[in-house]
Amino acid sequence: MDLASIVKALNLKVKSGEDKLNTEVRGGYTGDLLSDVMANSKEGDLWVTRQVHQNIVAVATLKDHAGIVLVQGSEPAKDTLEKAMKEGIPILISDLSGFETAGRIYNLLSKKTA
Amino acid sequence: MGLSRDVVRKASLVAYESEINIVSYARKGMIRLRVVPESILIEAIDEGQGIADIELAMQPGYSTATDKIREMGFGAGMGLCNIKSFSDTFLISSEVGKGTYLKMIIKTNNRSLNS
Repeated sequence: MDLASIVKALNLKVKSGEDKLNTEVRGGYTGDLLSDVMANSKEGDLWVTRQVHQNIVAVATLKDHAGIVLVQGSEPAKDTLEKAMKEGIPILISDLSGFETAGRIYNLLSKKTA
Repeated sequence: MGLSRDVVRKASLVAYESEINIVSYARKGMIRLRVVPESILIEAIDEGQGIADIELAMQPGYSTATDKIREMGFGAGMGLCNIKSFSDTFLISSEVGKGTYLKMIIKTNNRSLNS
């Protein structure tokens, strides 16, 4: 499933990486501890987090994530957004909680592969 | 340089975790990188408080991070474990009040130029 389908289904606000919405989302990972995300997430994952500082772009770039979803309507910090635009990392905003955001993405992805 | 994505990713992760440790705990520090065809050597050398009990510091989840560091999602007590698990060789030495030295080697699976 591509990022654009998830953006549409969850009504996500696209803050950066508009040109990367055709990226294939292979899986997902939820976490706010950066070391945990670095150790356990995978390439092509859509990362759901509530961290908004610029280090999230470094982690997403390092792990080749499909994108980052910020939850509870959180806006990325200014330098986060600048970095994301430079690195071409999609940052998306969900108005839902982390639990509900991850749950819905999980359902979309598992329906697709079922 | 013909390095695989996997090797570059491992090296980046190891360097990044080392950098976070230096910024979070040391007074000053440096990261030295040496790349040869068959391996990447990363050394993280700092001056600072050092680590009193290395065995304890290596335990997953053990952290002395401040609340400020934790709020940003660092200080999960996974940094040294990650550095070790993403390296092929890992060495650590530390002296309290002086600083910490980490040495990591990541194999590239490329053949040596000399062989």
